Amino acid sequence: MDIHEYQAKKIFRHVGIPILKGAVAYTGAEAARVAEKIDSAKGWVVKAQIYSPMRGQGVFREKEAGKKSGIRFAKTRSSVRKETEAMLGNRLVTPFTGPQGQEVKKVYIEEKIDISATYALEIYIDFSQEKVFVTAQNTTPGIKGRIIKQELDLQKNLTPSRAAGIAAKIGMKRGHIKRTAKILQAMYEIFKTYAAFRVEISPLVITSTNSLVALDGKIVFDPDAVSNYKEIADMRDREDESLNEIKARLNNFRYVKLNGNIGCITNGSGLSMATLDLLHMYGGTPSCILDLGGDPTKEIVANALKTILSEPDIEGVLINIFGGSARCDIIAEGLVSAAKEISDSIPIVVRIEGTNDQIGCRLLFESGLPFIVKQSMDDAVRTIIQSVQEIM
Amino acid sequence: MSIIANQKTKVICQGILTAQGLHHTEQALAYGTNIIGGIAAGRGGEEVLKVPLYNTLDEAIARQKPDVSVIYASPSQAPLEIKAAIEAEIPWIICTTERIPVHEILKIKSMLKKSKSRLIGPAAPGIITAGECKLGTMPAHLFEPGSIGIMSRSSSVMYEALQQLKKKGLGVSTCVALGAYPILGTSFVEMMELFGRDKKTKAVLLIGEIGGMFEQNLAAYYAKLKRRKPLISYVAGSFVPEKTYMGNIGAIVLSEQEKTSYKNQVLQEAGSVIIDSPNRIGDAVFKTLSKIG
Repeated sequence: MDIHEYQAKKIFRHVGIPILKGAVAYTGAEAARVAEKIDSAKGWVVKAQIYSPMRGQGVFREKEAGKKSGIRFAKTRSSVRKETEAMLGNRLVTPFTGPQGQEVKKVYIEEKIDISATYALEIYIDFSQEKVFVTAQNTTPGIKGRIIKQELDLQKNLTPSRAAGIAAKIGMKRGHIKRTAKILQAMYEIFKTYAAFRVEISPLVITSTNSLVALDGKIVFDPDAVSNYKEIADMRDREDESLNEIKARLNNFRYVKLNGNIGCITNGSGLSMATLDLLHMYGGTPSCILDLGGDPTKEIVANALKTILSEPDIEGVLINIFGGSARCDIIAEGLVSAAKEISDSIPIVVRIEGTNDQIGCRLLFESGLPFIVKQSMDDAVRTIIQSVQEIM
Repeated sequence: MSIIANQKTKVICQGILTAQGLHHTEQALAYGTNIIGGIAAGRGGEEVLKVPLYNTLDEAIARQKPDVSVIYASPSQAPLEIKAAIEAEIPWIICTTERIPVHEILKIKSMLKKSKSRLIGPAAPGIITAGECKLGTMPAHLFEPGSIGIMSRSSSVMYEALQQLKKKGLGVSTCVALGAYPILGTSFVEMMELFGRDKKTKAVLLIGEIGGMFEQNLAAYYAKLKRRKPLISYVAGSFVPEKTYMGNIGAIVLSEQEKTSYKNQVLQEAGSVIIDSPNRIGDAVFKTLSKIG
């Protein structure tokens, strides 16, 4: 789970990592008011809050946002307002957002400073090596700083002397070594306290007045750990969630939006991927995938079918269930109970195989509803693609 | 013969009185699994499903040393249970619990390096040796005895494969569902070593997924084997959009090497048969087996 820069900075401040004065704004007027409160001789920086690094190299899709990136400088309060309004509601594209970009719904206003040196500090899990590493580097333009990389032991703390050693190796001057060490230790404290995947400060800067500041930062949390920390779980943005994503969350099924016209209901993440593979193989395009998980109730199945049928671009539904732990009769009961939503105009192909599949198939037949029941995954996938083509 | 477990394997259950623990212990007993005890603090001396209960692992071990422990516990309790099983030096530990924080598993992995225990999981559906023994949450009735060994990151695709094998008249030796998780206690390489030594297993079916380096590591190992059994591989997720969360944090592509296309390429170079579509698993295994006779 990602959080925004302004949320990461709140956590940084809490553990004593130095940050600049700043606040979030949702409108141009609010941004101007924030700027007024932040006393800054050199002006302000207006930063788009989206879940992506490299916002400073990003480009907006919409012309009205102007040619500047997602991080903009403003000398006056009215220009803070102008830059905020230019970005809000428009989509910023970075190498990490995909071509569709991410809509900017809020900005962070920060005092502007002059920078004399930049560094990058990271603590992260390397999944393929199954280890935790700390890396540090001097990233000041013109200086090719070597990357210092050391393994960390989750059972132990990062000692002041070891942290200071890392700071010295990236060329921190005497006065800054102790401070950098404290920042590294605080980062490790965040990493361990919240069982995070990654804590990053990039850049850590030395200002023209010789103070040390975390100018940008990122924390990535383990989705399986955040529920243990309410203050972090509450940081999750719900603003971007679509109605069907909300329904999925409330019903405990997983929902992945894609771009085609066939809605899929499956059980298990592996089978979801296999269903996508086979659909593409035969030339079909999925509109979304809805994964019921291991052992769904009748109500969850009914809600899943209703959710899929409410997709605006849906032209057909493929239900591909293998009853391992799930029972096919319960799946069938759930599908039948969504009867009111079912019409002849959207074909629904059902493949339920496995535990109690014969009872399940009989229930579907006896319902009199226009389910097209197929015996194998292969048959079902070909049939739904054909049915959708015939309607078009 | 089989790998890890057969009908004689002595099994203990940690968390036997949880809903999952009770349900699957009942199913496992019905399948003939040799369950010698369950751990339930404060209930030592009692019985459930005719299985004796012990307050602690130590009490159970004092009575009889188990070969395998199966863990059914909540995400917060499961790491403690795994650590207890490692300290008790139980040879194989199977953890079915999903959604354990990665930090906990990293700590457990460093404990495992210094111990003789081996962990399957977390988030592992478990192991079934067809006709002999069921460990974990998989439905035993899908498994027909035969000569194919299966190792999988996904239980749902494994069920699909079993159905296709059954239609071809093929059965399985041991099936191991390793867990839908980014860091696994044991992975394909260890399973391939075991299948290699197992007389009953004639060929091995690998069911992989996008994300991680598990399949690539197996390819590197398999390429170097001098005498080896046929390997047939299906890696799911060719058409999952990049950085899309499909419900399993292990199955996210973060680099080119974690894509299905790359995994298929290195597996093929190592000598594995590649299945490009999930509806052709049964056919591919059948063909491979008929070649070796």
